[in-house]
Amino acid sequence: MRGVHGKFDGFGRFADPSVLILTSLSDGPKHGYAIMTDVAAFSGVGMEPGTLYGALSRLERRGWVRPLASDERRRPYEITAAGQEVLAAQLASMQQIVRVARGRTATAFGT
Amino acid sequence: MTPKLAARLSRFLVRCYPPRWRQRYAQELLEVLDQHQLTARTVLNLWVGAVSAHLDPAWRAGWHPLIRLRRWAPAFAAAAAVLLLPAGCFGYAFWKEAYGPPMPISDGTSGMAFSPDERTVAVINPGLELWDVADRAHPRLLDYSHGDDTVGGANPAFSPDGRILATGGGAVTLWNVADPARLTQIAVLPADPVGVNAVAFSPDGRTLADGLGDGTVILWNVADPARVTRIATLTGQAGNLTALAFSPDGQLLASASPNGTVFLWNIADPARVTRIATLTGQAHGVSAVSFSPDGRLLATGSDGGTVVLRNVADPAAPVITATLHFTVAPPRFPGMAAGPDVALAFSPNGRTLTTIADNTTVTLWNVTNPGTVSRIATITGNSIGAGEVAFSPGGRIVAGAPATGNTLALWTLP
Repeated sequence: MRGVHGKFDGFGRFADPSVLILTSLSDGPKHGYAIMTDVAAFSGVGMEPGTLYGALSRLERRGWVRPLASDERRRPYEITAAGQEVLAAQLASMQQIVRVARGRTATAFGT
Repeated sequence: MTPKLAARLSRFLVRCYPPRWRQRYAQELLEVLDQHQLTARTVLNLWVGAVSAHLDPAWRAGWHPLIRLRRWAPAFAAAAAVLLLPAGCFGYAFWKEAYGPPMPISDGTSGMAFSPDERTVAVINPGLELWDVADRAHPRLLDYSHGDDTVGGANPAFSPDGRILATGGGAVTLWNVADPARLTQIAVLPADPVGVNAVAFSPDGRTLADGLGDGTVILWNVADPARVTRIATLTGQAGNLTALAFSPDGQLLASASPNGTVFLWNIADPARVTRIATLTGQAHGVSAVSFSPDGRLLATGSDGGTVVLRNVADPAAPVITATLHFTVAPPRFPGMAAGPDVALAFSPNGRTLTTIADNTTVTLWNVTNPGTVSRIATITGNSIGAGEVAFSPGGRIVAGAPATGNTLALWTLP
């Protein structure tokens, strides 16, 4: 899977780890490795641990995710209300891009 | 890149994140790395992550006030030490002054004595100090009486077994010195308004003689130091008695006075003490008196620089066998009384008499033949100033204390 989709890794907003993580957390709290496998499963983006935790630390600082109490080494994260709003806005913007893109490519290439 | 190398590099790079970042995320990141398939891409990704975390001001060291505090902790500690050290010193000095035992006050040494085992020296200055002199090179102050103004007088006296020390002063005080490091008072004998200057134990340790300021000698039964009883009061002599000596067999007591007289008392029967001889002839006051170990000779030392040897084999008719002259330092200031401290000691075999005057001149005399006494050696120098001196019972060690200051000097004689 990663072999096929690996080339999207640096591909702008679609590969934005923040969006991917927030999306992954939207159906329930997950710990780090679960986020990685989930993101890989639904988007095909193979996120590396360095990227994941770089993004997680930024999201946490902005208050978009929060860590849950854990007595194990793996700590689950959940998306906050603010995180949900940000994700919704981001998805709306992406949807707008997708809509325009579909219209234009249909006109130009006839797809 | 082998997975093993990737794992090692990844773990190394996790340690390269900023400390605060690591405190928060390192555990989780390592957990994820354990489960993840590690490649060169993982390593590169971690390197980028570590660099960006370092560039992020949020994770910069010193951002957190506590971190800043920790960073400056050595400076704070140094400043605290500089500020608190003088305060602590003042506080300790104040505490010691207010609650600690007072330091011995040296108002001039007036007497000294060696313990029978030669390990301890008692100094009257005018309180009582006990010095450990077992290590001759390093005398060490063990204990002292705390603000006891009844202690004073001339040379104190150790009991023959070394367990009790008697001191003069306002009254005779008996001290338990079995443990010289823990000086404890056993008894203070009834005070006498004229004061007690000289004290001496009988050879069997059962009798204590004390010489009063008016020339009176009192004999006490100290067999039980906790219940001391007065045995006899010997009168007739004048002056503030300076020295007392029992003969080795305990039959005679010699009492010396600053008026130059020495009385010999027959104390064989303490209930009927009689004066059997009055020795005169020394122009200056007599400040040291000692019997030879066989009891046949009596040496009396005078402040004027003479020692008179008498044959007292027949105590009723003492015969002068020799008069020894030694150098006495002149008074330091015109008009100041010439009062050198004179000390005497016979060697245990009785063949040598050692004299010392004024802490300056030690003279060894061959007294094997009392009729023809010869000078063996004179040792001068090492003066520590006018003060007190004492011989060890064996006569081989001299202890000297200067008139002022809490010091003790020891000389070992050849």
